Amino acid sequence: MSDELIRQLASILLQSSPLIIAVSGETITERVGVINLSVDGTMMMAAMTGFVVGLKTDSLLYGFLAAAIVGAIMALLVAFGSFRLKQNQVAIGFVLTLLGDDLSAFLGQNYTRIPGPVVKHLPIPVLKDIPIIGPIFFNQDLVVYFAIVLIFLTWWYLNRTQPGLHLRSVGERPEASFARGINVNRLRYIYTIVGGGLIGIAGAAYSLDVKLGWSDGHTRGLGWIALAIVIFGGWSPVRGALGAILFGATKALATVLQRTFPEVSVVAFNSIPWLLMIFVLLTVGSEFTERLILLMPKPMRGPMSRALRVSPPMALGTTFENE
Amino acid sequence: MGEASSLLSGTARISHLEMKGIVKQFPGVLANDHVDFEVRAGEVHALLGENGAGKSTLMKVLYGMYKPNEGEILIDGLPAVILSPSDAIAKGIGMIHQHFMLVPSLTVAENVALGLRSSRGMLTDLKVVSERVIELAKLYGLLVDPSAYIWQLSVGQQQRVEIIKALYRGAALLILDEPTAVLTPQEVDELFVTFRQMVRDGHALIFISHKLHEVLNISHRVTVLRDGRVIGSVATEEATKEGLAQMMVGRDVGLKPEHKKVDVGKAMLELEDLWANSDRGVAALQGVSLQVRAGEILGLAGVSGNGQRELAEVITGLRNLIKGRVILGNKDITGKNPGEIMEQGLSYIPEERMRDGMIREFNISENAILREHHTQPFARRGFLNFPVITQYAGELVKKFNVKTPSLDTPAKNLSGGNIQKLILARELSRKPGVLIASQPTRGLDIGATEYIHTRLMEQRQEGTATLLISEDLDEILALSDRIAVIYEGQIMGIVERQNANAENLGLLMAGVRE
Repeated sequence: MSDELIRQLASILLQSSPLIIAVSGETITERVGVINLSVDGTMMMAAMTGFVVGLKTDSLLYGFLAAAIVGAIMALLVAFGSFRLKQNQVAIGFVLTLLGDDLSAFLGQNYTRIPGPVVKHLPIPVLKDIPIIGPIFFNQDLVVYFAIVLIFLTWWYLNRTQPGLHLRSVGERPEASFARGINVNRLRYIYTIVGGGLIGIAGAAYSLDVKLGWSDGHTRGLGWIALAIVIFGGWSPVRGALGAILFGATKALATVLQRTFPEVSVVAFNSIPWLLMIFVLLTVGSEFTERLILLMPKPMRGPMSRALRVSPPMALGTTFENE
Repeated sequence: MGEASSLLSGTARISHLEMKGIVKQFPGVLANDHVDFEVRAGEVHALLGENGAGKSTLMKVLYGMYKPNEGEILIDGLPAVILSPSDAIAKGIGMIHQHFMLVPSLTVAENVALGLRSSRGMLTDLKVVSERVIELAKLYGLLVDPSAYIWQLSVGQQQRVEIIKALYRGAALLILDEPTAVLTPQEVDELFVTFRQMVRDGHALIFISHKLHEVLNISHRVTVLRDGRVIGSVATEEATKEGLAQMMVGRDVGLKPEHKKVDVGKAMLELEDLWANSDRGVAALQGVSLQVRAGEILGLAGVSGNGQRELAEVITGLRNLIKGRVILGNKDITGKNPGEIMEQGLSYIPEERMRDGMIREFNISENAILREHHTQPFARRGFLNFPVITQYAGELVKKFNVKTPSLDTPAKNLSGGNIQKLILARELSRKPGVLIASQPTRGLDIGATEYIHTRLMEQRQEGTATLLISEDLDEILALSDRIAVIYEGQIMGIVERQNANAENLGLLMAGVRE
């Protein structure tokens, strides 16, 4: 494998890391049955807050912490508005998106386009020297390592732990969970806030690492991409992460193609990731997939259908009341 | 007991549970009015009553889902505080809900493990759970694969999972809320074997139902509720069907509609080799052919989800056919839209009466003319003629005995029985040649059921060809002239009225051809 390609792959992984974190956060939120639609606004608020706090305190840790708190507060607003005030989750999330966009621009107006703290490169000794894998995965910084660990941690938590089982059941059939003595709304608060915290960290991962600094609408649009990738990934943290990386890869490919064919408009290449995403959303769980599965040899059908058939958590976006 | 007690070790045994003076007030409704109820270990105590009599409310109070306004619960003579399902479970009370409380996307073992403390701390202990599920299953004849997903299981199997869940938690007292509503007769028999085994092992069972023969079959004692009050409590040995029905309704009821002889005419509805898919794109109808003749009721029996819904939708034009022909009278109506089909003299009582039979937010008058709102005399030059509509709706309401505060009441405020009467009024007022009645009495109380049955029999007398689709075998047996059984989208057989009984239909319903 050429050095150029390896460098390219390492860069794709770095570029995708904040998205992976945001996707994990939103996946956790949606698996417990809550739609936090405010991702885009939350990420902008968190990117701004993380940058400003990091700059003022000269501490990356405080920057990320502040971003996580902002994300958690935004998520708390969605949860509170929905469970307590009985308002529509989607509407609250949407309003918070718009709010986050404008409020971050307003609050961060004195901090645009100035240098600030940067997450340091941190190669892992020994592991980084493994051929191919080393330079791609272990010659990175803490944000990337965090994102990679988070993928597997989220998967493990959801699928292998007792609290994870409860989390999933609440997102699928809250009545059944309640009848088994599980406090539905408490779990929903907890995981919505945890998910929001992760989305906040994702925002700061842009302003402190992947897309350094702050400017008006610094991460605009990326939150919507994260939301789309959660669906694209079929609400699985691992497939969601793959989706995020695939998205990063097509963006990188667009850049390469653009250099190779300078006569074609930039816009054409920039739309490749979107076309790909629409294509995948259309095929996943459609009649086309059903036919594709039937074409497979018998032993392959089970795993294939598990990989391709997608259905959202059944109680997604609904509220739960007993009595 | 032996093995059973080892499984139940460490849990409370309940030898006597008593509910005293329970009052539960909902806005505008007194659901339980000083209700006393008790149950002992080793007995099945049936709780009988019509819809809205307060049975479910009382049981939800016992299970900690509702908080009573007054009253107390005593377990073995000591007051028990039950504020949530987890309190109830901790005290050894389990509940099998009418609508199963299972998570379809999880496995049997995962469903059982829900809400439990894992022996491995943070991690799930599904292996341990699976082993104990298999033990319990053997003990009580509840065979089920712990690694199967709930969505893969039949309704009967899901029922078993529900019972296993409760037993797993060491339930000494089980509340069974209409556990037989969705089962075939054979499955009911199997379930009763399990119940008897549980009673022998010292469990106390509360059996909620409005099927009288089941209550008489399984219970030791019967308590009847009406309008939130206890009407009486009798030993099952001394009870009769008629007596219990009278206690439930408060007056004498004809349990079986009279089945007069009617001359059967020519075929009014002919279905030829119908093929159609379900919503999920799976083959739901696989070559269904039937004929319904004037003056007869053809019953279509079958366990839920075997193509009944799709068949009704295909006939009424709500679902596309892949193959086959539908002939109404002597007109081919294949591929016509619902409006055109209705014009040809077809009436339809849909299964989901709130979703497909009414517009919830519309008032009684508006719903009464849903079918004919665009025709004279209800509409003129595109404007609705309200005086005529109101007068017409008023007549229907009176004629069909619909209980409603006013004609301006939104349909969603009516009870299920009154909604169904209104739909019936609308559909029958056109003197239909063919009537498709899908689950016409599901969820209705005895009074409303009796009324609907009488009307359907009158319609038969007048020469209407009726296709009665029902999952209630008693209803099918009571009304039908011939009975077709559907299984996995195919007609397993057609049985004449005089040859039909629960056993031979049950076998066909389970897909067994003799």
